[in-house]
Amino acid sequence: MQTFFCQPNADGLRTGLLTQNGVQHQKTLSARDIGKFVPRREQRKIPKTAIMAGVLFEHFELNNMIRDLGGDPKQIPLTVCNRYANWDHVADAMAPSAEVTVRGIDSYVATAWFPAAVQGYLTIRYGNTAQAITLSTQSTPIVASMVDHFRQSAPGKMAILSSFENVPDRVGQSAVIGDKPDPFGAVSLITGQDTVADIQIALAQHNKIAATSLLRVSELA
Amino acid sequence: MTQLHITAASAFGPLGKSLDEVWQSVLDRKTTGGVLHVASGRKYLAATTRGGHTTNTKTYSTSFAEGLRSLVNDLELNAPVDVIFVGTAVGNLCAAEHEVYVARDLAATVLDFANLRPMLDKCAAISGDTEIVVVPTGCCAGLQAAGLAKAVMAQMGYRTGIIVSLDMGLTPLAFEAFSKINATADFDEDSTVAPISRPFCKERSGFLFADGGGAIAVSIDAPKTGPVPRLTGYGCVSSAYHMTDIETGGVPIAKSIAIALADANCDPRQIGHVNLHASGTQQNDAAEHNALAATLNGAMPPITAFKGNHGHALAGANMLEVALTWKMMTTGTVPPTPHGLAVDAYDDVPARDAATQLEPGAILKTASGFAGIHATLVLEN
Repeated sequence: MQTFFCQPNADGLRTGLLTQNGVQHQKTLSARDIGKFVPRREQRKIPKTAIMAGVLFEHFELNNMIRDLGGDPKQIPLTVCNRYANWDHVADAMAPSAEVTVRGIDSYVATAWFPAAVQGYLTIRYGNTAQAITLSTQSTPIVASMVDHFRQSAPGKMAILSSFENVPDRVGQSAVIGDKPDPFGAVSLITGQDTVADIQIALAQHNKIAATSLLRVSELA
Repeated sequence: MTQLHITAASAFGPLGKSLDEVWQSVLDRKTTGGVLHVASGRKYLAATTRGGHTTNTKTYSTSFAEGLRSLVNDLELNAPVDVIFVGTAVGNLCAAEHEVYVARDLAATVLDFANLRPMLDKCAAISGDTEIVVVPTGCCAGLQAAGLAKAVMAQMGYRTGIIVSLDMGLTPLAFEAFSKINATADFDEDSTVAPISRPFCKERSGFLFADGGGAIAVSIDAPKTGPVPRLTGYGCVSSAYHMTDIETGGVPIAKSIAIALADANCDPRQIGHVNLHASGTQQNDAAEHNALAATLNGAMPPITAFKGNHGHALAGANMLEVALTWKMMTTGTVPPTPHGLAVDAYDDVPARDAATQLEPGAILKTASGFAGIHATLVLEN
């Protein structure tokens, strides 16, 4: 099982591969790098979580990896964990006035705000017609059970388990307060060799990434 | 494959505060919909559970929590269930939106789709041990929640559960977002046509935005009191076609139906009724009609499309419609088509002027959502 992750930082997007031996292949991608993977004209239509997803798939060439592991990128079940939707997409448009807010709503809000935006982005971009689901839950056993169920009938018994969050610090003039995950993305490629316990470990890794500041990213493994 | 026994159902919507009220309204061929003045100062067409012609985000901000509690309590379960699956498109949107409009700090917990336990802590059916899972995938989320329940309940050792879907999405942000992509029904001040959703009518022009939801109580074990309707099949696919547009050929929908029928070990010839997503858009009607024609080899069974009665409550519509389908199965009655709907788009989908007897056989329930998700349930008596 391999888990690829990214975390936005001041220089761009820090990426890496999380293994039992620690973090490998670390690289911070610049805005220019990101633009090569997700064109700038497309970036304004989708939330940052979807941009992160696209970057992870392209930078690490995950579809090639899926093929190498016996899966089919067009028939691989996809599970996305997301609890906080994509408020970043409307954060600047919103104001302490509904009248002002609606004037700033663009044609992409309906699809960019909702939690399944990443699911839609990935399935459409890569022509993946397998089952896909987005889940918001603190119950990792249920997520693991769903992923296990998904892969039973999939080519190569493979499935994708991913988590993406990007909670803005502010929506309109309202500060977002209280515990919230750091912005991050994580994609684990689940193979036929992985047990349900392994899937839960992958989920635990995702949650660690969400709770780990950038300076402590080396402690993730 | 696992089947789930449906032991109870609940619902509320613009046509009633309980499943029985909504059911009676549907039998009476009632429709609802009209102009709603929203806090943004703009007017939209909608069907609302709250009555009246105006909304404000302050009073509406508690509606999701209240609705969720109401759906769970109306199941009248006297013991906690093992797990609750919640499908929703916008979740607690209005609570968050209201905080922004009054310029208060916004607690991250309000944005958290998984944070439903505080809303449910006084429900007899929910205990501290009840697992809560939310499926926030839009207008297909209720059916996906049902599919999730069917997939994992037995494997996880859960014997009892609730599947609920709810959306209270009549907010300034949601109205404007849907309006911007021309998904909602046209608003014409001079129109002489009733402002309702018109699935399978030639004059359909988009969905009528609504709120509401439904719930079912499910168990792995057959109830000792006798047979009840069962969820026997589930299929779901991604169309990989477009974020909002539906592939009108209906191939992905047909595929979701085929998977659901295979899961239920059911032959297409066994289908006695279809309750469609039927959002009231030209694209959706064409896609669903083509999918059924391909699946059923032209032998179209009777069809119901309840969004013609009370509009489209996003994911909330899924389980509201499943609850009404449960009513059809437990009463053996198929409601007539709503007043004012010609139902004239296809020759093989005729209007019904009166209630009829439910044909024997399995029932298909379909739904489609943004991101190109198509799901189908098979329900059997």
